[in-house]
Amino acid sequence: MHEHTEHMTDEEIVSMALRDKAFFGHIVFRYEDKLSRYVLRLGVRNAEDRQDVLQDIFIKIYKNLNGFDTSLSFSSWVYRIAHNEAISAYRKKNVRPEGHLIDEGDEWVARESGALDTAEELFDQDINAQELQKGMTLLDDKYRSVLILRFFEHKEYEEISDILKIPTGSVGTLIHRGKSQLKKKLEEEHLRI
Amino acid sequence: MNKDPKQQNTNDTKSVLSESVLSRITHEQVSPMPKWCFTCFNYSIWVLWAFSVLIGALSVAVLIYVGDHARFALYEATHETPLSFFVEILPYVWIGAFIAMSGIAYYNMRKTKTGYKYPMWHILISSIVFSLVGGVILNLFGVGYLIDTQVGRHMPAYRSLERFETEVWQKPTQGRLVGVFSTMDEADVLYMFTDTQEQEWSIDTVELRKPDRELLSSGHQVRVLGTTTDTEARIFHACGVFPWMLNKNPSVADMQNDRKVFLERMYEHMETGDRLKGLEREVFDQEKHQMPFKEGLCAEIAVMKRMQF
Repeated sequence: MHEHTEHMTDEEIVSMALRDKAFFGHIVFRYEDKLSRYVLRLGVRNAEDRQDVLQDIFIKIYKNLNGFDTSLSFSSWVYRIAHNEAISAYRKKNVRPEGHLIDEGDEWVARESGALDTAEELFDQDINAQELQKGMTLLDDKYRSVLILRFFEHKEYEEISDILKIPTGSVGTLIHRGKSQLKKKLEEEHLRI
Repeated sequence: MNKDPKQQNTNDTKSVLSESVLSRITHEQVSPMPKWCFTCFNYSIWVLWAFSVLIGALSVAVLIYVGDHARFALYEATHETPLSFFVEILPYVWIGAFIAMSGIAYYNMRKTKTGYKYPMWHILISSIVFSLVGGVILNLFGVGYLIDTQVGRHMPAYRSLERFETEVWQKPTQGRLVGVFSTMDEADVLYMFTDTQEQEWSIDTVELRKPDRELLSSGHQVRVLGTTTDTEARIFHACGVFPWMLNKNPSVADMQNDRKVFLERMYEHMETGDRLKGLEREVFDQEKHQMPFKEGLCAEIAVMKRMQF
């Protein structure tokens, strides 16, 4: 990252991008990896489709820059748009999402599974990334989204509330129910993570 | 070395995606939507919310008005049971409107910038409370009466309280009349009365008490309970006179008094009837099926059978 924008906040870059679209490139640069992973986790597995979705997301972000609600963090606002675009992308294809949660090696998997484990002490230490992934795809969408944001995107409850536009209290409830459903699905499918 | 910071920034952050996004922005001439569009959208959501709460409040105002003015005190005069009275009087249109508007208000509130932060019941209850409070205030200014009456007068399909009460009370064959006193007859005995169908009636007031006669002759629209004694000549034997009272807000005391007066009148008629029948038994040693005295006719009207003193 260059010396002039690396210390700038997203909001500062946004205000510059509104004056000169070239600065929007910095926003894309900052978020493309994060959003690419997020979109992949939400179910857009095909690389070309993912690139298209990402382009659409950033175009939408650019179009709506003036509508950015400064009471939110820019990141939450970007994730909200990405979430909606990814959901409509796989709805357009009329298929159930095949989320690809784990793609970064054993160390990452261990960390994510550890997060789930320490959060509620639900899961065993024997980590099986593929089975966790399979279990997640069996969840209801509302639980899957919230678990992905909490345990794979490391978002706080407040941020998840802003991204999914649900009350903060509901985030906790959905996480709790999501984990219960995940546990049940894993048991039903004789899966073990 | 590139001295232009902007150019340098752009070069540093180049990625395939940012290149393609910026190129698409340029080629498709994409530009950020103006701020006023978002401001207008946000305000329009609030305006829609306020509008749905207002309609909800108007519905509540009509509901309160109908609840306030429905003459439950006289229900035996018009209906067999309290339940049948309520089933017929309930303003289903406004109940439906209130429920629908509460739903729309909830939906709009959720669409506001921060609406999603609040639990569903919180938003729903607050919208309902706004409508209820608004409805109470509007009703205090007579808006409930105004809406119900005006809609009833201009929309034939809408059954306002005024229309309902008129339909229910303008039934001479069932012993009920609504109208206004016009004059006394030539002999100064019968009260001439014009009903809501513009029909002239002679009201026999022999069984009426003084306050009833005064109310009847006041010139205000009144309800007369009794029985038609001559359909051709349109003679109506009155047993009780009650104020129309749709355009004023009755207090709880008014309603209690209404009930008290009604029960007293009917009880007196029952006593008179019993007394006269007893007299007949004593004098003729037999009892006729029909009341032999004109003064006892009120003891025979349908409402007396329903009341079962």
